[in-house]
Amino acid sequence: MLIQQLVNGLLLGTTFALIALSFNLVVGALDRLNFALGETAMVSAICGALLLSRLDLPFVLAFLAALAVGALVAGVTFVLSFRFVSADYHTAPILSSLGVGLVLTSLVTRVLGSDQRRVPTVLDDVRIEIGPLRIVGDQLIILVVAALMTVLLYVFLNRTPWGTAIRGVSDDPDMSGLLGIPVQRVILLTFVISGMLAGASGLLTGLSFHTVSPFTGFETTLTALMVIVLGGLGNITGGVIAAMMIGVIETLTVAYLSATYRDLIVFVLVGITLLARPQGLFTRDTGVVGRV
Amino acid sequence: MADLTLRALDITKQFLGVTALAEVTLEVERGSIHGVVGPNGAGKTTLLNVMSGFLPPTDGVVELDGRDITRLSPQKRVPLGVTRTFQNLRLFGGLTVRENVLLGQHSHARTGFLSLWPLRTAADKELDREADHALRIFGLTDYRKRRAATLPYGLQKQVEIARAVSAKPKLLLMDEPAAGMTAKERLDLVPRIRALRDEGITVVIVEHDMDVIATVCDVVTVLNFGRKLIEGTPADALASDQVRTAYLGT
Amino acid sequence: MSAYTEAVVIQVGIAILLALGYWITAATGKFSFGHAAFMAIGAYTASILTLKFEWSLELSMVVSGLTAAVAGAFIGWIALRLTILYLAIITFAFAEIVQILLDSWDYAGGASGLFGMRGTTIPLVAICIGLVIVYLFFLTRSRKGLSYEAIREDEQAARACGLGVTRISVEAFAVSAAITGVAGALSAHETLIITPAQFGAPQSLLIILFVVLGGVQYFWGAIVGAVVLTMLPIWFDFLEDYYQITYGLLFVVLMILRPQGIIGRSTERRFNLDSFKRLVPGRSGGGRDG
Repeated sequence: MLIQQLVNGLLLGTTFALIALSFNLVVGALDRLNFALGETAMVSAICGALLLSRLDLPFVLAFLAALAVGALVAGVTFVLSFRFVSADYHTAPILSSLGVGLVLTSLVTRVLGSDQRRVPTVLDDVRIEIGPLRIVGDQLIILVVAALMTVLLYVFLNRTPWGTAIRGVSDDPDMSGLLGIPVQRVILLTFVISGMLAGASGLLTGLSFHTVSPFTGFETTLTALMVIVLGGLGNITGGVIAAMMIGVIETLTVAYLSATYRDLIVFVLVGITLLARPQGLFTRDTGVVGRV
Repeated sequence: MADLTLRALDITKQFLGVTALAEVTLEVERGSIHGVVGPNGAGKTTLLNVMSGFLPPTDGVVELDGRDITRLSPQKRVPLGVTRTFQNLRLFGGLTVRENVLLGQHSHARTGFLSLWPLRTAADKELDREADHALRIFGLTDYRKRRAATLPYGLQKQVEIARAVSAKPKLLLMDEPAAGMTAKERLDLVPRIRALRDEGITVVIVEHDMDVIATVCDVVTVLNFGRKLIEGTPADALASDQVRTAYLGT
Repeated sequence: MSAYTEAVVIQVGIAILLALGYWITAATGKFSFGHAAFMAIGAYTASILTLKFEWSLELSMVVSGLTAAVAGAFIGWIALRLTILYLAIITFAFAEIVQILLDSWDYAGGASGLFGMRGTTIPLVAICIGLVIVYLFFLTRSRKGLSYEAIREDEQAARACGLGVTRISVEAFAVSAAITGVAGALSAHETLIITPAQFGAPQSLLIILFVVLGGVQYFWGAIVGAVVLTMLPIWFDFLEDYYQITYGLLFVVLMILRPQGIIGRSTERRFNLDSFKRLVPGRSGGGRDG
């Protein structure tokens, strides 16, 4: 059923959109990528799943816990991989955050075990049927929470002083510093928010598949990278649109072709995009100098 | 018809809708020292970037000796005889002064797979001699083994010019050569630029500093807000009311 | 020599080969984050040739090097014109694609891989290392080697000097891939079995760590990095279980304390600070006045 698959794809896309937002926020603030965000999402999701299944906490509390864990992990990543790493070495933060990712994955498997964790259904008896279309309660939760977080982020960035500071720093860190904005603290805040988005995305993804594995961190990073490349690095709106596209493409591939080719098709698609429009689908070209 | 080395015809450059250059034409006569001046944001550096191939123009044509080079990348313009320096110095800071000059010769050197063979040809040795000669001319012989980043600023500027000259250019594009220099270094700069011209190199200088331009240039083009304001001898151009208005805003 | 010692020596030798191969692209400042893919390409090419076509190992190694070089040139051609962020993303994705394709390639055993390759000997590994070292010895003393350093230092200045930055980096990338492919072939014929899962991100990161630990300034730094990191888990048994954490922490600590690696000096590139602006398209003010 095509329409059902399209809706499923869009719902998958909303979780991708959250993680892509998370990556893009950091790119905006620092012009660099935090390659540990996938693992951050995984750690948050595992913690959330444990709280749900072991302690029977209500979903809201587990979700808030996942946000907190994500914020904490991303804050620590900022300190370890960005704050004290010399700006002279372009690859240093990439390698360092990849290292943090490795540590996170092995820590989780050592401390909490390498089993997959179950994420129990939250809204069991809610179900919306519009003609042939069926949306279950958990999908509703994903949709509502993702939309809510996106709106909150938008309001925060555009309507609050701290949000304005974040936008100022991503536009011109030197000038913002001269104007008295505490640049390092603003960047830390950006990381913390990006960690919360990653945490939310992790737990919501877990909810949609009802399971979380400690080995999905790098995979999540890769998916997010594909999304932000397609949408244009640092382009927040482009990232959201690209996330929906990739969500739909992945769902349709699994439904009509084969699960094996899911990632392959996305990678090839992104590769072709890069060849034709290296700046992403939704960003305008700035000429050779901009790309060097 | 004058003998032109470089002609930039009706160059327009827009950045995301902002017009940095609007139909600017620059005709550089062979063997001249041509100054391009203007207040900040006038489009001087953009013009130089278009001429050296670092930015593609939105519209317009760049010709070298009558040949259209508009679409050529910077590295393809160097063998044709166009080199440049940068406003804020771009040296290979971790490499020695001599290595910087050797890299300037890149387009004349053998760099294919066989160049790894340790035997050196006569042409290789000739290039080495030329590099040492360039070091001597620019007073850098004593510093040849020092890493470029460890030199004082004035000497680093010398290294950059030496590197650009060692490519044996017809046309040297200098982006604010006097910026950041002490008064004495500025004085030294003038005869050095004249010496380059005497060696047969046509020089284009983009400069904010009027004194240097007035002393050394044969022709001056004044830009303001991306448009050509006036062109002529330094005395004429700098005396014009329009230029005063542009600079002083009165 | 006991079989155990021989295995250790070969393992260290292959690590050295991987590190030297990676060093060539790192010398141009272009970091690949999916070099394990070239290892996989080399390993599978050679294994198929020796197992299914009964070619000699030596000839198979040559072919596997060439195959990896072609793949490297292709990926390099796509990625090396872009910024390092894109290079990272593309090489990651490429490694993933190679794994997926090998996983679903029944002829090459799919996810269970290939089994039964043998023939890697110490002299064979030593000859390969020797050849690469001779190549690097001449490379680092040539103008070609100098142009690698120039690109690593400042790409814009390199362009202004007339260096074809893309062509030079793609060439370095392809040679690097070729050596990595040969190392993959040797590794496959030592470990007897290869599966796609062996050539994932952890393997890529390990290769990077060899070079980053030693520093990119001198190629023998890469050798030191490879030897140290291969011997560590052999000397200290307990590291076996914690090697991922160890390597991860090593990256973090190294990047804070000595990003230039243990061997090599800080380059004090104070002119390059603004190049961060160029990491992301659309953020550059390059070319505007002021």
